Amino acid sequence: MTGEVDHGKSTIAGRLLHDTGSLTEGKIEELKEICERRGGGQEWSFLLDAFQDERNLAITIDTTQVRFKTAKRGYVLIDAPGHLEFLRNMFSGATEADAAVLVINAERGLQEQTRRHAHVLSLVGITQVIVAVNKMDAVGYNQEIFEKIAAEISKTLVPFAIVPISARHGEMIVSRGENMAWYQGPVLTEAFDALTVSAMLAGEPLRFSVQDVYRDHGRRILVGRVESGILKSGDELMFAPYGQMAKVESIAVWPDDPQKIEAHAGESIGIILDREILAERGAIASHADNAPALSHVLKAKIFRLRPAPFISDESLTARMGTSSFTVKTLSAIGEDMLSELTLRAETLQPVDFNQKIVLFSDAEAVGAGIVLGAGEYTGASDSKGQVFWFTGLSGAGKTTIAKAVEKELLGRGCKVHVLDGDELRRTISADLGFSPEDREENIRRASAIAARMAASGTIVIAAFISPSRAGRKHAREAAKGWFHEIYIKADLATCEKRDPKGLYKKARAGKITDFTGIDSPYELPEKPDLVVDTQNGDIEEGVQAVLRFIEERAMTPGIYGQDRFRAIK
Amino acid sequence: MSDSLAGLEARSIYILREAYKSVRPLGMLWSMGKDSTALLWMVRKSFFGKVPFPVILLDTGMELPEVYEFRDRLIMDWKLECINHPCPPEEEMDQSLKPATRSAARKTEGLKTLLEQHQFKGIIVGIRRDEQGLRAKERVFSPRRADGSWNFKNQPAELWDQFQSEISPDAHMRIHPLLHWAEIDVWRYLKRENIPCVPLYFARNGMRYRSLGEHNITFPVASNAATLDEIIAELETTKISERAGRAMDRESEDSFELLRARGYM
Repeated sequence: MTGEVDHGKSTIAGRLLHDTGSLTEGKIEELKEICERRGGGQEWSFLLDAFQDERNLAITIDTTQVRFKTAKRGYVLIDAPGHLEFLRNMFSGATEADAAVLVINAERGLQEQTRRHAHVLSLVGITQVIVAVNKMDAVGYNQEIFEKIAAEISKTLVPFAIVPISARHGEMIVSRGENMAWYQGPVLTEAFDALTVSAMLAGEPLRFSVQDVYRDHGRRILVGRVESGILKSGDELMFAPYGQMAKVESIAVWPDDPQKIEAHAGESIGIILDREILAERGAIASHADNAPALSHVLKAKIFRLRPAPFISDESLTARMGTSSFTVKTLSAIGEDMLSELTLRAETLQPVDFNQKIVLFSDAEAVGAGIVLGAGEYTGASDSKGQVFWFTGLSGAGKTTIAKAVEKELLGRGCKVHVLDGDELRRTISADLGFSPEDREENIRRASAIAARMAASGTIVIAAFISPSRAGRKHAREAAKGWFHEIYIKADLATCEKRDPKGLYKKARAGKITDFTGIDSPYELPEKPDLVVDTQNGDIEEGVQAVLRFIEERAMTPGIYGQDRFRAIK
Repeated sequence: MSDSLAGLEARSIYILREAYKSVRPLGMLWSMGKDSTALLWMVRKSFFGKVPFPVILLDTGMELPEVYEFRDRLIMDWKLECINHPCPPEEEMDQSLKPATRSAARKTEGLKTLLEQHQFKGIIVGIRRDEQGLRAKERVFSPRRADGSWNFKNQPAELWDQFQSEISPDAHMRIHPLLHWAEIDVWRYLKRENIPCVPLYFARNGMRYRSLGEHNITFPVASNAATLDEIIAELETTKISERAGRAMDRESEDSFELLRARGYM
């Protein structure tokens, strides 16, 4: 039950309870007594507005739920507050509803808040909205006024029914009354009985959201909810975002039930898999041939639940199902309380079209809505070629990270190339040794090649020990500012312990000379644009950090809508 | 969902698992009444037969003997870790409260001393929206301030089962996994799942308890429903409110709000 404040929502609700005979014994007497003591008229709204403050101020502060019955079926009625400052309470109520009543005061007509509520209803996916034009008694039951409001609201939404009512006098709620013979449509309860109850999402692709992992008598049980589709024992499942596959050995419930071989949308179950995979809270299981898209970038239609508008580059926490992750707003386009936000997730996320998303700032929900599109950073036509120059000791992880980043970007269709020190040494610089002069020459050649490739629109990742500040400065100048110095950080002891090519051992034994860190100095970067610490952090985190860094500087996000949603898997 | 009870149960299990994941240490109030016993059964379903946190009786010493017998039996049968926490005496309550309200306030104060002693961050409570107008306005995850009070004028948004689980220091979270159930649903569920309940609910000599509370402030109502089926049939048509036998609800217009604002369940 939604609509602007003072349009009579709680009164209609109270009236519904009474007129359908859903009140318990003594409730009317109690209401009369309270109203008399308070010295006002009969306040039907007091049946719902239970707080003293609500009764004293004659407003609804928070959502409430009451039950009534018609001859056909039972209903839970969620009465929502109308005030702007209680909008999050209205929204909270709306997310639980299957259908809605939008109340409009006939005396005042459509208000801004009426439209806002209509937007919230549409956003949470409520398609059946019954419009109740209330207080018809106050406009002399005038048919023209009713029709004008009916025409106007039909521009904002497609109503399931539009009913003229008088809650005060109980007209067109359960009984027709005598003052609106011109209206031939259903009374409010008849309109309710005509609503269809939404079926669970059985025909949709399977989505099982992992809530937690339990260990029980040596069994490892993934507990969670089937959000849509059907999960069967024996199904091969894919777990996003990492993509591991595992077979459902059995569906775990208590007490044990060997007959339990499938679970439908809405069920809270546990599953036992045929192998141990890394799947934690937030993972989404699906069938491999109908998996959610994976993306770092998503676009969402968000209803704002705080006074301040969203701004770009704002850091928020997004929650989708059981998944919780940090996002940054890339862009925010808003009108009134509705915004279209493009968000960049810190980690790769499984995403479905129309998926529900709630945004939090400091533990407070500040926005909520649905996913409109996902996308990925790709080197689109307007992408800028740039040089990302890795420096660091031998064994720090330069080549490993460079190759992993290259693989990821190639997979997205980017023009990217890794210019690797070892490879250059074997080819173009085969004539050079390791004296300080030869090293400078090697870096000079690498700088020139990197700069030329970047100018042609390629993302260049140059991985060179490049021990001298002068050499790195030269590389920066060669790329004419399209240059970023990334320090791959690990100290000598760490690199020597790793020694992947056995070079440190050789250098210590004196078999090779002029080796950086042993008998040739490494000049620490003074102001690197990014530091990736592989000594204290792991390589995968480093890869992600570099990817983010490159995306933000050299790439543009491509966003796809519903039609191409699956194309970005 | 095959039927509506399965749907109600699935949502409660989801909430219980969310609570267990995000709020620790956790405890559950168990009054031995039909609601918290049905909920306890769902806890066992959620955690594959185990009850992974203590169940708590806020004991005023005023429960009926049948209730204590039932408690002792289930502790044995279901292997429960039960905290029997004594509530402070009535003399220590706010004397401005009316008698039954004052008596009920002992539970609130008992809960406060329990929280102090055991440092619980989350308390699971089996209240339902259809019981009472104020409970109808509750959230599933409902934060309480440091003094245990309910800031009902400023409740967090609760959207699509995204519950607020952050708790400020000294405060605690009430978790309400049964809010969406109705009285008749609970009885149908007790029957379907074959869950034991206190015999006082079944009519003897034309009277039965609809709602169980301490014997000084709760009274049986007229009824001939002596079996589960008869209770369900009675509830299908009754016009008597569930809490008709609860004295404190009637003492003044705001008695229940006074209790709840200060931290009552």
